[in-house]
Amino acid sequence: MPADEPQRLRAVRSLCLLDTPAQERFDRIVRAASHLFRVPIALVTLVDEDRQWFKARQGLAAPQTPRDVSFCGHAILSPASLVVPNALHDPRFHDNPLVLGAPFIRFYAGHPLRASDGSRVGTLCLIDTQPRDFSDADRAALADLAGWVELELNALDEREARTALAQQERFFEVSVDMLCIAATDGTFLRLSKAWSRTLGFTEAELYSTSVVNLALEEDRAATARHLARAAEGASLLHFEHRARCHDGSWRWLQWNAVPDPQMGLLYAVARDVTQARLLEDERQRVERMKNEFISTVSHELRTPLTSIRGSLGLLCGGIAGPLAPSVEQMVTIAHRNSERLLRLINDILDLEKMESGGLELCLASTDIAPLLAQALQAHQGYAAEYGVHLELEVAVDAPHARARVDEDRLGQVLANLLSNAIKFSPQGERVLLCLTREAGALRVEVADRGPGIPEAFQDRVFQKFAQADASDTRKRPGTGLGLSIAHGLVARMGGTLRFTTRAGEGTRFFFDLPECDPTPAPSS
Amino acid sequence: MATIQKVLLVDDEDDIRTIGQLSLSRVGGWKTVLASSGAEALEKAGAEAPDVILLDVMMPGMDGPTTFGRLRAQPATANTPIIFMTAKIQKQEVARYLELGAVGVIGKPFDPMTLPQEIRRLVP
Repeated sequence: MPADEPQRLRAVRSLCLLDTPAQERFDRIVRAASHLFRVPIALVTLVDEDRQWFKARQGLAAPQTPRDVSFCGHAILSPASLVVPNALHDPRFHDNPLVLGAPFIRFYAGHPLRASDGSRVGTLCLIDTQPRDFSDADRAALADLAGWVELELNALDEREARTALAQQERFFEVSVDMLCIAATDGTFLRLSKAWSRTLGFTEAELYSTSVVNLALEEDRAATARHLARAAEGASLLHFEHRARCHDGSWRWLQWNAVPDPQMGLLYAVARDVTQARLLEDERQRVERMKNEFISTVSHELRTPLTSIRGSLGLLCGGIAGPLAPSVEQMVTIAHRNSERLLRLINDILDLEKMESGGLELCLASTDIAPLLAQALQAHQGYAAEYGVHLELEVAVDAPHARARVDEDRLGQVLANLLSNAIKFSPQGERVLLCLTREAGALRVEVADRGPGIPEAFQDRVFQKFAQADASDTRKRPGTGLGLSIAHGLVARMGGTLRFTTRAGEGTRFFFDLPECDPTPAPSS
Repeated sequence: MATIQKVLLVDDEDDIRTIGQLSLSRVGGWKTVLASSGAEALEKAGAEAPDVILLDVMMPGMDGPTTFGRLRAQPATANTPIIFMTAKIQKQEVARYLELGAVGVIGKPFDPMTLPQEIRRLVP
């Protein structure tokens, strides 16, 4: 087996000749060889993994023979011709089936054929059924003919190479992206036309500068740093900088480049992402404006609300003395609605923060049961208003049931679920708050015995400003943002807020929190 | 801390000062001193020696945190408990005020009926 067999096989395949139809340009050579050397058989063979295949054959019907019995398999082992004057006297071939059987080879002379990379891919060979002598002049003539075959083999290679080169040239001409081959110091060795089209410099101007010099002053240090990293072999992925244009303006370029540290080269594609950057900058500006607007509006709303709610609170609290019943009723309505307005402002702020990613949670391993007890306690007054009983059921080995939560935000979620459950419960019913363990997670559940969630509304429960119907808003005041916020908050704490509901029987909202430091239940 | 007797309320909003005063005096039962700016706060704090200072964050001219620093620099109020009041009650803001040395932060709108209770909780 030749030492460079894998490369040799690649060379054989890259000729793209295996199993192709006969071609006159090879056929005429074997005809000439057969005539010149007066042998009945002349072949152009290609030797692949397990066979020798005949690209051209004179005097032989078979299209191929197995490699392990082939003479050519031996001929490709050496750069010189292999000549076997009498196979019956040659220990390598005397028992070869091609010698003992058809085509009864006695004489063989084969000269290796080289592909453009030097690999010996096959032979030009002569075969006779009679023993023969083969002079040095014959060997030289066979080598000459083999050279002719090689020209034909590699002529195709050259044409393909020319085609590939032309395609590459064309690609460098038409590519919208800026292609370049640069030295790792950033000087350009080859540039596509898009560079001139995008930056407005002539090619000569570009070849006399470098990637670093093209960068805007403020971006030069970063550009040089990235090039230095590329020189050490790191790919440049999505690196962006601003490049100067001939007219004094600049464009944002995004680079993707693969270095060849051994050759000291960088194969790079730069893309003009100016438009996308401007759009992104604009988007961020609008986002900042929106956030500032919401923050300012919220502040500006809170300041007068402080006075309104404060005044009403003081009146309700009897600070200004007892109120006439009708006045008290109106003041109570106004006070209640100022509370509602405040909740709405808080909810809108929370939602805005959640959507802009500005909501920061202080997650810490927390004992969950006491938080539930606090939430329950905080809602006793509200429940009493609706004539609803609150119950807490802790079915885990508290106080060891801990999860990573933000105490305040979990409190906010519980407040939302409890207040919903209370206001939807018929008088005299109970609302159950449970803590259980479900498959290694802590499950928090709020169950009511209210009317259930209408089927048509179930898909929209967690959407913003979602309420079952308009009349419901009046009956059961809420902003329509609470569940949407609760859903988002639970997600930020690693859980998913879900529900089950049955018409006329009630609704159960629940979420599982990944448990931390699980403590096994004490054995009894 | 001795019992609270006098509270200085600093806020640039007239209405909020009025409600705050009613809350602190009528619900809390404390003597209340009012200031409408940081500069006035420095002056009144020095003259009146309040037991607690309620300080609005956003005020034109000298804002709350700056006033806080100046109050701390005055020997008379170097150790007076100061509570910030703000409508921008965000976690990082609250953390910043506590880091400055405030004893607490009360969000606006506050409930005038429970404001004194909240102050007592922060300044026991």
